[in-house]
Amino acid sequence: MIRQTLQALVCLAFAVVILGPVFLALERLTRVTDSTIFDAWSLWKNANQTDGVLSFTLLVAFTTASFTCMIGFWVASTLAKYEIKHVSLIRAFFVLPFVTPAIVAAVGFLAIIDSDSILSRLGIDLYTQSGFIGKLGEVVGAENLGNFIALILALSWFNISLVIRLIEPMIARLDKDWEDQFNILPKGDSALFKLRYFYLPLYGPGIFVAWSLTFIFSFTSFALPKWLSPQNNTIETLVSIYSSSAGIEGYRVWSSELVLSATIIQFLVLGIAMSLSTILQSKHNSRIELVNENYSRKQRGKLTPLRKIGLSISFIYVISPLLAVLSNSFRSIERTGSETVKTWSFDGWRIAWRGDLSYAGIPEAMTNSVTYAIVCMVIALVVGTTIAATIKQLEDAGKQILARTVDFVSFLPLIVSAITVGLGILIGLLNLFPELLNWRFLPVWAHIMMVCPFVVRIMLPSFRSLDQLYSDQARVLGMTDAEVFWKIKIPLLKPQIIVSAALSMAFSLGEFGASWMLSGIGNWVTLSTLTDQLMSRPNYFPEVRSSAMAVATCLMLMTLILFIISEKFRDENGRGGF
Amino acid sequence: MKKQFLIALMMICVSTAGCIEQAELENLLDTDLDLCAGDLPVIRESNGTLRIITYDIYALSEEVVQEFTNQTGIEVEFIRTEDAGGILDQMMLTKNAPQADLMIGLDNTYSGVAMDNCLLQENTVSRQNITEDLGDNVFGETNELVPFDHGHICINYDSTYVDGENVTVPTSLWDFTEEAWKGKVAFPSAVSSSPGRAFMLATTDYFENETEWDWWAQMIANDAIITSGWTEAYEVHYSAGYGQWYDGFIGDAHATVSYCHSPGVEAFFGENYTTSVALDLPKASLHQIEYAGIINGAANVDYANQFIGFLLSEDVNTNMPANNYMYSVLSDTDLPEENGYRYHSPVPEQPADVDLDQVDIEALVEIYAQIIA
Repeated sequence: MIRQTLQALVCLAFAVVILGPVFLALERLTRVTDSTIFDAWSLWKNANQTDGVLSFTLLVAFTTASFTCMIGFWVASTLAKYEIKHVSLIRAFFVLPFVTPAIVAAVGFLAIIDSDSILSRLGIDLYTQSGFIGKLGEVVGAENLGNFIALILALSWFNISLVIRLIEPMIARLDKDWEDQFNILPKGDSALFKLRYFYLPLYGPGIFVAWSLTFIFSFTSFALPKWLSPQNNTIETLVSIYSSSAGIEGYRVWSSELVLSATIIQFLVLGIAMSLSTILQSKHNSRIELVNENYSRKQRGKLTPLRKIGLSISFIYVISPLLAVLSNSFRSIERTGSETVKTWSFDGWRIAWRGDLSYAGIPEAMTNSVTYAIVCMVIALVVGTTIAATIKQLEDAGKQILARTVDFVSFLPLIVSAITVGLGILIGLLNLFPELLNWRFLPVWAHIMMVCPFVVRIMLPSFRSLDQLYSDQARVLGMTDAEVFWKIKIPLLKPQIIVSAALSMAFSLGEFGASWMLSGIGNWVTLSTLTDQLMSRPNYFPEVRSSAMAVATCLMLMTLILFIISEKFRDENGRGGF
Repeated sequence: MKKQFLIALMMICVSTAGCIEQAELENLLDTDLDLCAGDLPVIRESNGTLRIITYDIYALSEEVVQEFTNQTGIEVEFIRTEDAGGILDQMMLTKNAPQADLMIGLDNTYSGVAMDNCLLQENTVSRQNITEDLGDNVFGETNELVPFDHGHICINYDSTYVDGENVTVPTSLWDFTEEAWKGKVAFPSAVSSSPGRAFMLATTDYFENETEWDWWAQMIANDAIITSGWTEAYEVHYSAGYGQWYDGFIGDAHATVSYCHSPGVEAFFGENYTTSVALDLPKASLHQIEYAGIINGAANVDYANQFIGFLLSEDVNTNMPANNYMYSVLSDTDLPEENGYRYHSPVPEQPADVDLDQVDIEALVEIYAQIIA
């Protein structure tokens, strides 16, 4: 009884403490604008800066989700079906982007598309959009086509791991005999019928779950559109521009109207996408009869040459931004008059370490980042695990609707996006409790909001797969509930707890949107905001970019270590989650 | 079902928060608090460190701040916003619970809002060394604002594009609406950039409050590039700026809004090499003055006064042209002649005359925002 009460309190506290600031912000915005949340659409239509923003955001999210699913499905099926040496290592590289901080991906892709990059020298000028890309843009009537392509490539890079994580285990464990049996049926002759009656029912729900999650993450992406598509705003970047003057009575009320309407519209679009994803997730889990992966691969044999080439290109696509970040951290520019020379040096690292071109050096930013990540990890782990356990207990008790409600609420922070979370703290919470502005751990609040949903998603399948028999037998042997929890359940859940802990820290280290929102009102410099800060400084200081890349490299290496830890403990059977 | 639940939950929370916290919210957030009329502002809690809110001002380098600490023993910490507008936004947002003692960086186009909202208090800094016409507070008789640097905002153009034959030097702002300038002029937005805001105000005087919005509409129709900040307009898009030497350069604009002394800065740091020229058209420039001021509710007023005094000291302020790329406010100072800094920095003969105390700048920004949308 006490345990259940505590669990209920934790879930309630999550809903109030974590989601409360967002609702307070909405309350404030509606009061400042003298409108209601139901006026969102008319406010949006009447706002000056919103022309084309919603359609551009939808286009980006839709294109990214579709493109990522295409590429991701191909890579996943290649990794799943064929015998490949070191497949675990190769797969690890493909799933690495998801834990890579968005700001690292942004600066990595900026380095790749820059005017003197290899891509530009090959005539693919995605940055200044001259040459072939410029002409293509004119032909198809698309302004800033190069920037759009770069953004889609970066967002797909970021989300490809999601598709692989969700799809690959499913394909790998599909019995090849099923395909063979279908082929000899009358409808097995036609490729269309094969797609309609075999592949779509089997893979469809999984692909759509991956599609909808990619859609959500692309729709709410902030760092990548901010840096790669500066000419076109998404809802998230638009809110970031005008949020600093939002929520202030009598001052730039139009910015409050814009932020309020953008937040509600984003909330609704993502809510619909999330609902569809949740509904399909249950179908996705129970469709396929599983066989051993290695058995399945042996049936199909080695990679074809075409697959080898495709996989190699995909591999280069995945590692290029990371290598670009690393190599550019050692590039220095020297200017004398009208001449500039690029050289290799440690100047960027030296300057970034000392903080000569920024408000903080790497040591201070790293200390903040690590401290926030540890605090975030501990709290998110406790809260997330408790929520997951509660959902499982509700399911066992037959309270499916309540279980799904708790499940859905736990995912809400992702629906409201990082910028909105930061906004919630900024104009919702801090106006009621201004003394929190001096609280060192304020950014952790936002980090926990963003990380908890992932912990729930990782822990919930583990609770579901936990065999009740162990607990029952332990109780028969005289163990108390507490002993069952500590001596039976915790050891069984250890791998997932470590994965959750490592990923919580990685996500916290890389969290950018909410931290960026809060960085304007206090001294909360983290590695991700320091990278952005340096990238935003005028290039008049020649080492600005290499310093930014040095900070990004630190961030990348730290998340890489955490990723390796999480992969080491990841249960092979649990590959289908985050 | 879930969507319905979500909407219901949101409505309950919003309305509940509205009911329960209404009294407290009224108390804390009511912006009609008349601090200027004599009510005591909330004094922020302090740990004895002078906290300054500013943006990325180069003059406030670590060395300069360390020198202040060495001289006075006062520790300093900063809250840095993206730009001058960010300073005002943050001050407005926390006006009833101020988070800093001193503001550095609001210019004369933003200061009016700060004054109207009683965000600043009087200081005791001596103005005797400040150039006479800069020391007067255009926003009233009191002395909340202390200028620390200044410069004129105007259009800069690339002399390699304006060669005098194919393209001639513009003699009117209307010239920029012609085909030769289609998609080749970059403006930092008046909504989010202080130079952009200053230039927008200059156009109201240039067009005598009659046709400025027609001109802006025609510029938009002529594919003018609007950027959120000065850095992007000047560094990324302007073909004759320093951005051409570094990564991230596009160079699709041959004219942009910057400081009239920006070509001088280019020459100063480029060994007297620059192709950028300031366009001195009558009433097409605005004199921008950047201020420091003590925030109403500051905990360390004495420290803040000392810092402003330090900022105006000869050692710090005479170095503004080299360290902050702006003019010093001290009497009898000018830009250095070294590397053609002064030569390439014309002082506009007839800058725009805009009564910043009387103009409703926010209303103009709103009209501007509608046009550029």
